[in-house]
Amino acid sequence: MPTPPSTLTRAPALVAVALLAALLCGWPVGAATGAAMVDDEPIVVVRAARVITGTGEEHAPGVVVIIGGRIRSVGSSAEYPPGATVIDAGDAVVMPALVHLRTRQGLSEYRRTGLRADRRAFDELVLDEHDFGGLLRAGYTAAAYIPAGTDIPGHAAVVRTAGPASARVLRESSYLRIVGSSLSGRRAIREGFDKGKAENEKIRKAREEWEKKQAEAKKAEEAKPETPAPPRPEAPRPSARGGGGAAPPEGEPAKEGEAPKPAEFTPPRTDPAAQPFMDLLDGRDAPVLAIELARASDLLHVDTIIARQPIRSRVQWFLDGNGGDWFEVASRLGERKALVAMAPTIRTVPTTAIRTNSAAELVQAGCEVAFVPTGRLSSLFARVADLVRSGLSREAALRALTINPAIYAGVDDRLGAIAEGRDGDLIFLTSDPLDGLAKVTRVMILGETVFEEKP
Amino acid sequence: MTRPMHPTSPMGTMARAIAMAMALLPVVLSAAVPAHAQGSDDGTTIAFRVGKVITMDDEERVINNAVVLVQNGRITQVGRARAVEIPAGSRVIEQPQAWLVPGLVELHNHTAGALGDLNDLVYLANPGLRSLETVVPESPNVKRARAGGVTTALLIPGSGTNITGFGTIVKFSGPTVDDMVVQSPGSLKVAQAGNPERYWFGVGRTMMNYNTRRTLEGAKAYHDAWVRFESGESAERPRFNPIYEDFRGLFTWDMIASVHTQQYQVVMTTVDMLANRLGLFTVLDHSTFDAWKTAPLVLEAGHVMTICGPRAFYLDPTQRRFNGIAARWWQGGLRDLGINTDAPVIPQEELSYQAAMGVYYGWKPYEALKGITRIGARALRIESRVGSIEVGKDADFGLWTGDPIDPRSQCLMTVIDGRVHYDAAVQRVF
Amino acid sequence: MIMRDAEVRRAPSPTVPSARAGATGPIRVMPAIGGRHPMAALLLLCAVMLTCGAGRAGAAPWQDDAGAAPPATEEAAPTAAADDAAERWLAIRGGTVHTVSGPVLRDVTILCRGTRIAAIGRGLEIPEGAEVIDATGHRVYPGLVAVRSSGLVGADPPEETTDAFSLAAVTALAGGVTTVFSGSGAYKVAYRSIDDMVVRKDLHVPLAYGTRDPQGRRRLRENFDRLRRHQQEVEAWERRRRDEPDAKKPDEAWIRGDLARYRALLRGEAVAVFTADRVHDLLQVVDFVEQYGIRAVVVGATEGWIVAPELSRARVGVIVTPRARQDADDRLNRENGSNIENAAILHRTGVPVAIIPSQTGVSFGGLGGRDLLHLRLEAAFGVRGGLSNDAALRAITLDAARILGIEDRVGSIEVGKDADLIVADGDILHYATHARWTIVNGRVAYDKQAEGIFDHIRPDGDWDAPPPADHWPRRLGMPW
Repeated sequence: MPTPPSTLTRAPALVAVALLAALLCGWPVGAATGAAMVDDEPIVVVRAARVITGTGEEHAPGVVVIIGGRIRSVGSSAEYPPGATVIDAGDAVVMPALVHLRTRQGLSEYRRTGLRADRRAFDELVLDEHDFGGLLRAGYTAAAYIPAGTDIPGHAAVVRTAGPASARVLRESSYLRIVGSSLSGRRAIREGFDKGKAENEKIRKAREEWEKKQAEAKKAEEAKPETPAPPRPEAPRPSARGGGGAAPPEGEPAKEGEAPKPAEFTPPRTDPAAQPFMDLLDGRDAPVLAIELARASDLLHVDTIIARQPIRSRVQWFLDGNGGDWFEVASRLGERKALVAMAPTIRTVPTTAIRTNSAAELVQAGCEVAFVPTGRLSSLFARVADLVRSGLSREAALRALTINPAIYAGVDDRLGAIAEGRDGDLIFLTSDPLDGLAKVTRVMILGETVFEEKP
Repeated sequence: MTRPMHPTSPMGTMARAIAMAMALLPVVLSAAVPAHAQGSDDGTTIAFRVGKVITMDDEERVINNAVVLVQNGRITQVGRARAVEIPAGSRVIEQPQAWLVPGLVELHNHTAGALGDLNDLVYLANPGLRSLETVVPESPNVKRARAGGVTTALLIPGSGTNITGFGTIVKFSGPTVDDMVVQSPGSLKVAQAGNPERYWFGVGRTMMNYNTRRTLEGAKAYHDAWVRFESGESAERPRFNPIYEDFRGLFTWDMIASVHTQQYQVVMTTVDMLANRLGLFTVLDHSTFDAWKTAPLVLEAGHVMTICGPRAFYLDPTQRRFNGIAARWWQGGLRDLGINTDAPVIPQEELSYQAAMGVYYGWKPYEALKGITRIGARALRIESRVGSIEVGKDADFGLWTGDPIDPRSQCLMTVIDGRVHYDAAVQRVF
Repeated sequence: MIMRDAEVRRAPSPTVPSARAGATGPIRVMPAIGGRHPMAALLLLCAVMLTCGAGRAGAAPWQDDAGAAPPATEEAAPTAAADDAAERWLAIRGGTVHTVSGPVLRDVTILCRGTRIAAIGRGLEIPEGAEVIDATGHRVYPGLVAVRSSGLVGADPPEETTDAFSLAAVTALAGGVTTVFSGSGAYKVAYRSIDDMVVRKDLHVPLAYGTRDPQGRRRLRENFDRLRRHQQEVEAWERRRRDEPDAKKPDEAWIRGDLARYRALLRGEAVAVFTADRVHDLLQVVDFVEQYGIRAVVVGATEGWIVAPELSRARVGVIVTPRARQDADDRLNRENGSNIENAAILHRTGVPVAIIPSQTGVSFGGLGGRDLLHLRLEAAFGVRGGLSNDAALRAITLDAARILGIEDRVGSIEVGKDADLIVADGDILHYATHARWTIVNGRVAYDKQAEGIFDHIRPDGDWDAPPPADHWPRRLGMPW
């Protein structure tokens, strides 16, 4: 365990504040000998020259207290019992661990086409056998694995790249991946909505029919005691058959002498691939649609399809490809405050050599941007630094590295920020993430160090 | 006429043999061709009464209701109809609506003959080759050129090597090669970057510049030696070299270097090497893409002219903007500015349309017309003979239904050396 | 020779507030200029007033929970495009209007509502909130129709694939081209919007009937003969059915695919398209067309001038390139080869003529003047060959639309037609002319001074404008 004196000479300001904090709290810093526990849960304290929370705050110096794997507090100072495990990161910068919002690292490629909204990338993952080492070393403690293929290949799965087995699975079914950059993909969206509407209609009809029969049965029931006639078994039979292939048992005549059970409607079988669209159309809880676009024009084409659909759920966008024409639709995306994922890359306006900082323009227009790494994973910070040098605000860049990818992957309740109640997934950087030189030196999951670069 | 440029130069056996052959060729051909268009070299005067004459003279006069008199292939009088007396017995051509415009001058034409003759890629420098050998007077290309009002052209070899040979200044007259040739060699065709880089398995710019420089420096040393000998400065008679002999006109500016060159960097090299260091009268053919950025250099050199084309515009990838090549040169201060077709890249008869394109992309109509007449003649260094409607000059002009660079206008009649070589009323071609 | 325009400024034009147009009260339509204008305009305006009250009473059904949207969510898809379009007004005033279908109108206002032309006249009242273009000193033409195109709209179906931000599209608009034929349909040049880009589909059925493929010709004739026999059998069956109600209808199941398209041709429901240049091929086409009585268009027709009467007799339309060059072969003892007068001769003989340049895409390589940007100048070459200015303009507007079968929508400036217009700084057939504004579906799709590709060329008619300041790069390092 590092001791304060070693850092004293290097960071006097830090030490001063830390000592002050320690004095105020009454707990001698570094005096603890055994690991402290709260309600049998371990306490981990991380102290660093700077803590970037991911929610817009930065503390310098910063202290993060993690109890039982969850963040209890973050600030320039903190109270913690003497037995806490204190990790002094020295002049390192601590920020939330990264969330990869779109990867297939380690999975085989294959082509799946058409409307496959019932498939899940989760079913491809064998967590115990999967090597997440590369992601982990680059600072990613969670990754959204996407289903391969085109059109609507299925749901992403969000998993931890390390940590206790019980905490590995974050979301079995995260966003629904939709390839809106191809004609067939856009047609699959239309097919999804058409099918969803038809299936909902099918259920509605079946329910109406069932309710009608229920009402009839009830009427017959009420009529029964007045005229206790011999049972006529042939009468209910047709109604039982009328329930369709699912053969709902509710049409069965109540057995002689038994009290009639309150019947339940069993909906007819529907295409599971249409389920998300059925839910969307009926306003039920539905998955987020993550629609991939390759050039600005794709948005116009997708909009013509979804503009007519009552999308109450989130739609988020993945801006794929090499196009540099996103500025053409920046206001269109901005006015709906869209969440867009994109690679942190400076591109050129098509047919020109004019370089464009799409991320900056989208943020300017009102979008929330989430960065997805491209090329070598370790180059992420340097690439984002380039964007900041050419117009992207620091705040937007930090959000695009932390909370926004977590929102995109649907795990922002647990990851993406250093805030009370969130998981203690942190990374330590050699320097500020936006100075172009930052390297990951240590990765923590739930307060446990899972990777540490050997000096 | 094939004009011997250095009559005092002794001729080698080979050169003499070529000259003999060239002298015989017209005889053979003219025997086979029937009497050609009516001419004025028999002393008769032809009077052209037209609606407008664009003289392109030094005063840039435009004369309405004008008469132009032609005799023995030369212009003898130009003026307003009421001021010019038409001699009795003149043949009068009445075109009261037509515009009479100097014959158009093309600086970059590859359609002398078959395209197979264009690029003889023997060596990386082929100074001995001549486009003269390929001229086909009765080719459809020549006929169409005339129908487009083009009267003079520099026929040049292609740009497959650094030095592809000597060009030929011709008039699109005929019927024989001899009738057509104004000057041969009329230019040295040099190609900088671009096409010659594809020679063999590919060569780079350093090698190409070295190669061109070495050839030209050798020729210059030869010329200088002869000058010293001829002026008596040196008593040592240089050894005759048939290849270098053809280059001598380059150093006396009796012949131009017409250079395939484009892009900023390459044009810089061209101006520096050919114009500034070797002192050649340099015509920048193409000079396209962003070459206009070298305008200050070109202006400073003084003996460099720009005849741009065939590309009319450059879509600047850093600007997402259509730059008119001619317009940008003009805005850069160049006034000796012309335009070419690189026929057959653009058909020769569309030289006037190339000027129209220059205007669409930002140039000025009058300047564009001047660029394909007077400026072209200046670039060929035959301005004293062609390029404008002035007394004493060759009677080379076209009669047009209107503004010659408007594609709606047609050339009604093309007159070369006082002869009507194209008459749309007899057979419309373009 | 060249117009120097008075200083023209675009009027400040706030976006049209919805439902405001109706509140401005009835719009006075001035006395008739074209025959059917006033009535049509009045009817339209009545319709406007009726719909305005009802339109946009509340938010769209999926906008009800829009307020609760967290920052990173998208609650509702943007808008009901159709509603907005109907309330969009655009007025072009002060220009000289070349209607093509009628007279040239000076100093009139063209009022566009939504995607259509709503009124044309002097002193029209411009609805409040309308976008106004001051076209004083400019000439207004209908958008040009390119009867062949490549690379301007996406692969079939273009309305689902077109790149709405392509440089090719905006360049075509700069050349005044607003409608292009692609595949077998006609589409608007879509720039920054893909709304209403389909004009009409399934317009042409391409047929091959050349001299070099006698087997193919025979097969085509056999198919047409079979279909014609079938048609006769059907007619016979219909006659017999009056007496024998049980008579069996001739089998039709085999009429599928190409055969179904051929049947559409035989019924006059579609137009056949042939590619033919030489006299013999053209005469083959004429024979075929006359034999089966179909409607047809010939693309190419380089030697059409030699057989113009035959083409006229068969009522074949032609798509020609006036500058097409085919040197005459002097060994043939007959007229042959191309002729600059081709378009004029065909037009004079009564053959419907549409003009197209040799390159049907937009070229960025630098060689100018032979692509769709210069469609109008290809028509100018038609004038060189003897077409009148009017006929040449028609060959790239109304006659081109006729050859495609979309003349009810585009090709001229008339009330009720699509609001596809060019506001040009000069004669559209003059080489120096640029489009100042190009309007597609009642929307300014190209604004020369705003777009940046030609803004430095004679801005506001200034022939001596300084060279553009070169800025590089321009999108990076912008102060945010």
